[in-house]
Amino acid sequence: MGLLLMTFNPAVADQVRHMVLVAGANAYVPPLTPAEVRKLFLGVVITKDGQRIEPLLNLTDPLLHEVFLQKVVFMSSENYQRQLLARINHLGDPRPQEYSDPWQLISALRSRPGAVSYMWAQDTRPRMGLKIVQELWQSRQE
Amino acid sequence: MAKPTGIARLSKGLIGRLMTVVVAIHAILVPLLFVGVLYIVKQGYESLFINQVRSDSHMLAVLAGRDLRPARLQTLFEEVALSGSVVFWEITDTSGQTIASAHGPDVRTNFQEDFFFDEHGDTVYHISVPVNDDAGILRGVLRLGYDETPTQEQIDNTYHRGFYLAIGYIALTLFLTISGGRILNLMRKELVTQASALEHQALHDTLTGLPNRALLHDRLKQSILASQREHAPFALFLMDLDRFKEVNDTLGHQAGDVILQQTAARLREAVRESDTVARLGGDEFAVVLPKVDVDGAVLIAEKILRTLQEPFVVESRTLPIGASIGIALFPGHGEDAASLLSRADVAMYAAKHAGGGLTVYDPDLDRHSMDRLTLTAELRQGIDHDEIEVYYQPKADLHTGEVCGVEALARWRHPRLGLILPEEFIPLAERAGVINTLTLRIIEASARQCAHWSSGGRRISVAVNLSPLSLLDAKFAEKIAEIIRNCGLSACTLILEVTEGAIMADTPQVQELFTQLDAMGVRISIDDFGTGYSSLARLKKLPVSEVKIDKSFVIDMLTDDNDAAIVRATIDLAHNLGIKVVAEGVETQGHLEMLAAFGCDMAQGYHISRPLPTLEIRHLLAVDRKIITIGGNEDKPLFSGL
Repeated sequence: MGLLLMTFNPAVADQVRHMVLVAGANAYVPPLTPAEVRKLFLGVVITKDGQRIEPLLNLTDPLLHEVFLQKVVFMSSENYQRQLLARINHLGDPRPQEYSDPWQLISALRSRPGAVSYMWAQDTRPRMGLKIVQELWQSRQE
Repeated sequence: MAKPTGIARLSKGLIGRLMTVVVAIHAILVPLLFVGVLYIVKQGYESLFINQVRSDSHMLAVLAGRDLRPARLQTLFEEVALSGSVVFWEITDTSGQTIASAHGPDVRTNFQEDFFFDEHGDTVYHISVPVNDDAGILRGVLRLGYDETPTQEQIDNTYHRGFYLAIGYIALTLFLTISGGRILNLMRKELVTQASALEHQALHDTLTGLPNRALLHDRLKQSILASQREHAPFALFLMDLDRFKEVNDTLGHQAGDVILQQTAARLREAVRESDTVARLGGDEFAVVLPKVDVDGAVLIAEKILRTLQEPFVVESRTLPIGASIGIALFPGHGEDAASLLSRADVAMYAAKHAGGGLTVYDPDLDRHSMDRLTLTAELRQGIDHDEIEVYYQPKADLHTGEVCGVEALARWRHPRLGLILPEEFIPLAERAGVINTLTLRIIEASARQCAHWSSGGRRISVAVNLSPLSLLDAKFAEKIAEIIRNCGLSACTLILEVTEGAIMADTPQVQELFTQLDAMGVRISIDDFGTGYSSLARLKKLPVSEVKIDKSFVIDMLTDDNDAAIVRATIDLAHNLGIKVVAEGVETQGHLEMLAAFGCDMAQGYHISRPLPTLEIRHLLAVDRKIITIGGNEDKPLFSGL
């Protein structure tokens, strides 16, 4: 809930936004190219350095999710869901798990070695047990 | 209370209630359905637009990254802009310097990226995409502005259509509600009408429209309650039509129905609006008269009787129909509906037994009522046990003075009550449905006796009375033929007497029977002639060989010139038609003299002889050839038996 409050804080909204890819602090997840991140979250199995990467969808912040859809997968929300379903139906790959509760998301990231998700950089704190794998987007970058 | 009008009345009516329900339901349903559907459609359009923007911009960024020369980029994005959806584009290098750009005159170039449709209050969806080269190195940023207007127009159009659809739906629903309400109203009215008709049918007699027995019971109960409350007596009449049976049997049920309808109408006119006239079945009617004592009841009953004594006209025939009325009063004669009905019935039977008119219930009548019921049950046994005896009353030929024939008369020798006259038990036999059996038994006994006399040298005729019901028996002629054959009787010695009332109908069935009997040689005699409304002209059509002038004319003809004139005229007219005449009720020598003077053919009555049992009539026939003397002055019976 604290994360959500931070997300919608007007003071925070005026700052430069950084959307980052995060993983558990103890996990080994190498950086991914934008195309790999897109593929990963579209349900394509990505294995890097012997580690299978598991995408987790962060639905705790509608704006974050829209930015993720616009900057990473380049689709609307409905079309993204459709694509995921089509891939799952055709190939039988597991669907990325969705998290609407931030604490459950953090817990999942900490407990699963290959799990990654996206967050505002401001929302990641040192003692949360997470680490930033790479930056996905920043508002002033473009 | 004021009658509700306008909207108040409408809201209380079926249509009003239906509309209230429909409006209440649609006040919830319409917003839920239409707003919900419109929201989903809007989301669909927006999602489609955003998906197109995001995927197109990504593809354009990939294309742009392959060749960043300004001229090529200009060409590429001019082509894109021609598609119409991109209204602004700009490519900058990594330092933010513009490499190439273009925008329409009205497009706001202050770039602020959108992540939702219609964000930031403009009509352009701004999006920026990083431009990487083939090696994946960031080379710049592509900023695009997509026109939101077409999508917004589609959404607006959908809203408008949805609005009109909702209005149309509501209008149609209201129309169907009103129409449905009207149809339901009509159906409800029809159901109410049918239910009322069924209720009316259940409680009323279909022929006369009068209340039936069930409703009479209800009215009686109400009258009892009202009478107890107001301490006022009320009267119950039970009424039975006289001679109705003859009309029904001879003229047919249609004529009988007309009589019943006319009776109902006359009864309604004769009583007050507050009185109840009911038909109990057959020719039985009942009248409930509230707040009437015995004197008032008798007055009204007399009025009803007078009304019903007026002849009925059916199929151009004038029919005399009387009535017998039994009167019971509450609380004197019974304290509930059943006992009142029972006592009125007893009184009615007493009235009928007395020859019509009215009778007020008396406890003594109950005894007779019980006797009647017992007798009816015993009569069947009596017929089977040969308790019915035949007496014979001689008829004298006024020209020769000899016995020319006899009339067979039934007597019931009851083991307990002794000899019972036909006036007592013939109506019981008719009611019990054994009259035909009884008639045939008497004909057979009489025929056998007559054949016996013939074989002994006394060729006289025997006359037997027929019930009107016998005329309806399709095989009656066959049965008579069989009796004649079995008894060895000459058919011409058998005379069948029918009352004037029985031939009033002049139906084809009666005509056919008479023709058959005539062909066999059996003679037909019209009994009680002059009491009915038949005419000699009608007799001309029937094979009638004899008429018997009713004793009421004969008895008084010595003192009443009119009766004398009637008797004389009847004799003359009958002779002109070739019909023999028998005078009944000859009680004095004076009667004989006058009848002889009038030229009457035969006479019958107590002055000549009473009805005699078989043994006595045998004796009479054996000893006396000449039974009367014309010109003598004896006034005692010429033959009074052994």
